[in-house]
Amino acid sequence: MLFQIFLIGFAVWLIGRVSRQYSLRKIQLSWFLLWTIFSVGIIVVALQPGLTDRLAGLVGVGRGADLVIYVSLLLLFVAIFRHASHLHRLERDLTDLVRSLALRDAKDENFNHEDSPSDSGLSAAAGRNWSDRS
Amino acid sequence: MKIVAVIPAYNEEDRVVSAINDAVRFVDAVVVVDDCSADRTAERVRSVGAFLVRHSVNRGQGAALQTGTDFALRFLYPDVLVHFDADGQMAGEDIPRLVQPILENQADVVLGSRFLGSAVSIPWTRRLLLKAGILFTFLVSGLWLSDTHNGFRVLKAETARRLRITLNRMAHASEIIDLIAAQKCRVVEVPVTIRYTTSTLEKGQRSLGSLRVILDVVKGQFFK
Repeated sequence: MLFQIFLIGFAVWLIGRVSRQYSLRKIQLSWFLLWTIFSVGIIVVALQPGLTDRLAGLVGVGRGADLVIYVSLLLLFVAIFRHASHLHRLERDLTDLVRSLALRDAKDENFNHEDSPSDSGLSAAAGRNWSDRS
Repeated sequence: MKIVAVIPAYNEEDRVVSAINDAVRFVDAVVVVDDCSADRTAERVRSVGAFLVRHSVNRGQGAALQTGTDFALRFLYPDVLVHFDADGQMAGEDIPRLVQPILENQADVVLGSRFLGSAVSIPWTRRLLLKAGILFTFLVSGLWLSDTHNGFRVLKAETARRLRITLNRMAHASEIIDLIAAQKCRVVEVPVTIRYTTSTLEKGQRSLGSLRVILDVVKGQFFK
């Protein structure tokens, strides 16, 4: 009973939180709906614990609690995969940005500076004037 | 034939100058990419007059290599690019031997191999891991090479244009081989000498880092 009250309280708090975030345009409608449906699901399961057992029986899983854990794990794996994909894209975008800035600055530093490498000791040691491209 | 060496560097203030001086004897220009070093790597590079490109955020050796390649292709118009390390493990004397197959139009990419040449003072654990890497690379790319994690390579400029590195950190070595196989580039392996010292081993890839390489390669396959 205590755990059911906790679950319902948590779900109500979650609905309030995502509603506020949606009203402030911090999350999109799709996320608002997803979290709201999830919270309503928690409330339904808290009020009707036997429902998960019936659902578990339908899909061939032993107990309702097992079904909840399996589904939760599946959703977590999906969430982790999405986050990993997003992080990978962010890393790639960051590298592209850092590279773009580096090349822009390098052009100025290496070719517009008084002591550009084409006049420096490096090219002299190599015995070639880089501007002489044949 | 214009040859440009690309040297990615991270916190190599003590070794980068000797690496530049070693490479410059056999190339027309040296491009060093400072991957947001915390020490005076950039100042040391400027002091010897090599081309310097600086990352404002550390992105990894693979990213630095691609940045250096882009710089060279965009501004220096090379015919051949050499990938060279900043830590003194590689020998500049090997550069002409790596370039030769390209001059003779026998290859688009030439890969250095320490197992055809010599790996001075390589720990047995590192050797074992590198051998395992050969099998892993074959499974991923289909190419059977004698040394799959050697950063000493030479590419024709037009080939370098096609092989874009997207994996930032050490997994780029596996990615390059994958790209070579996918682009059906002509590959030749040439023996090179790689020198291991206490300092390079301390700084180099830890054995556990190999797991990170495998993870990055697998991630790269999933999140293309």
